[in-house]
Amino acid sequence: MLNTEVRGAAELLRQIYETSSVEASDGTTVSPFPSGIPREHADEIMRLVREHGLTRTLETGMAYGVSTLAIGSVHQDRGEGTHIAIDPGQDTHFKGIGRLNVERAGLEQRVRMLVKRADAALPMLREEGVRLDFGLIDGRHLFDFALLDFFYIDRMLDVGGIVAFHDTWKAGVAEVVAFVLANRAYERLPQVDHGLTVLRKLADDDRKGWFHRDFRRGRQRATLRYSVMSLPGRLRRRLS
Amino acid sequence: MLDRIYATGTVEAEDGTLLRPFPSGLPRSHAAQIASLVRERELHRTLETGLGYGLSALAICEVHEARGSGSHIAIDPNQERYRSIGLLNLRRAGLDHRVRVVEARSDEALPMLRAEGVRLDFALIDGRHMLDMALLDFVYVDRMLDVGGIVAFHDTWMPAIGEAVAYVVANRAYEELDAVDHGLAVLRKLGEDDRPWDYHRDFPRGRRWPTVRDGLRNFWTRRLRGRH
Repeated sequence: MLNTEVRGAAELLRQIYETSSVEASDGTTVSPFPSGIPREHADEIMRLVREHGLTRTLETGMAYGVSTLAIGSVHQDRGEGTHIAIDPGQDTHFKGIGRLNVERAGLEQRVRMLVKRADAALPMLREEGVRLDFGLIDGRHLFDFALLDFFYIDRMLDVGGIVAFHDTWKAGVAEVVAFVLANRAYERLPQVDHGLTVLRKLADDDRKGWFHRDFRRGRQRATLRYSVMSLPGRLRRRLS
Repeated sequence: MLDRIYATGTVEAEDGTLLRPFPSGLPRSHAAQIASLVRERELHRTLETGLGYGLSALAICEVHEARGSGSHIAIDPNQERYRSIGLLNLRRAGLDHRVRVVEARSDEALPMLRAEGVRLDFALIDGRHMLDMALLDFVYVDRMLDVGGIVAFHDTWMPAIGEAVAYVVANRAYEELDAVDHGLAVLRKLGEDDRPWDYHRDFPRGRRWPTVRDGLRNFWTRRLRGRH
């Protein structure tokens, strides 16, 4: 049983990683992995948000709220920053656990949750005039959908802002990263491993005509740890 | 109207000056195939990204008008760049009641149309010719398109559009129908999107070699008009 009385996102995050479990509203516990980001990715994202002074943040694919807690904990600690978390399956597939974790961590005032598909939520946010310093792309891991997430995040992202792609060992996501590096004004920042790619925006989109640069294909190989962590989920999907 | 444009190779601005609509406008063979698809497959709810001088909209709306049913949505954020000739041509042809022109970027217009509940039988993707933007157009068009509906990509001899088509054919439930040449790809929707969250099939690098005519169009646009 988790201690649901904890206060503070950092404390709740620490507890989740220690127990490898999150708790639903009825008290049952489930493993947040492999949907949730591993600890080293959470640490890296927290470092980026803290050290680069990123205060307007967004993620697609909130799931159990592990990355939301990581980002929200930095905002909470420094007393500044707001986060937008998008996930259409929050109340169904993830049983509202991401939302519960936001409440348990006392992040309600800092986190705006959108239980919508990213292709509906992101154009709406852009229309509202939302501006961003940081976007984490971790929704549907399909080439077309990750590319769409990136497209709208880029339109809201200030120059100098950062985009992180999670699960870049998945072929569809790796291809989006390859496309962005070849065709858009972004530079790659050092990464902790092949599962997380971090890019910094160098300029707004000024491509003309039918600009196209060929982009390298091919997945980034998963680390052994990530392969093992994702094995149960992959087996479940295969069997279903 | 369309016959006259192809016969003279010109379109007329509001002040009477004549301009060449090519290479922006689609060639006669493509207009003929699109009109034929819309007519023979009974495609009534149609949409295009990239109105330009209005040639494709004229081709589609003429079919709607001739059979007395059908409506068209044309998206273009740059009608000013075309001196609003696309809109003028539709008015001159008496087809403006068949078309709804949305003067906005397609990445703004398409989500809005989907939120309105618009459904489609046919879409022509001919807006900005970059992989991300063409695929974005496709994603929203697909969400509005009924199974059995048709999507046509124009200028598929451009590498970015060729790659977009290659991705769709490899990863989505679409089949490619015969097209008049390598500048136009016609795909029919076979099923709704039910891919697992991480589905991916590699897609071949998609340059389709242009016809001599498209090659000349390419040369004209790139060299003589100084575009990238």
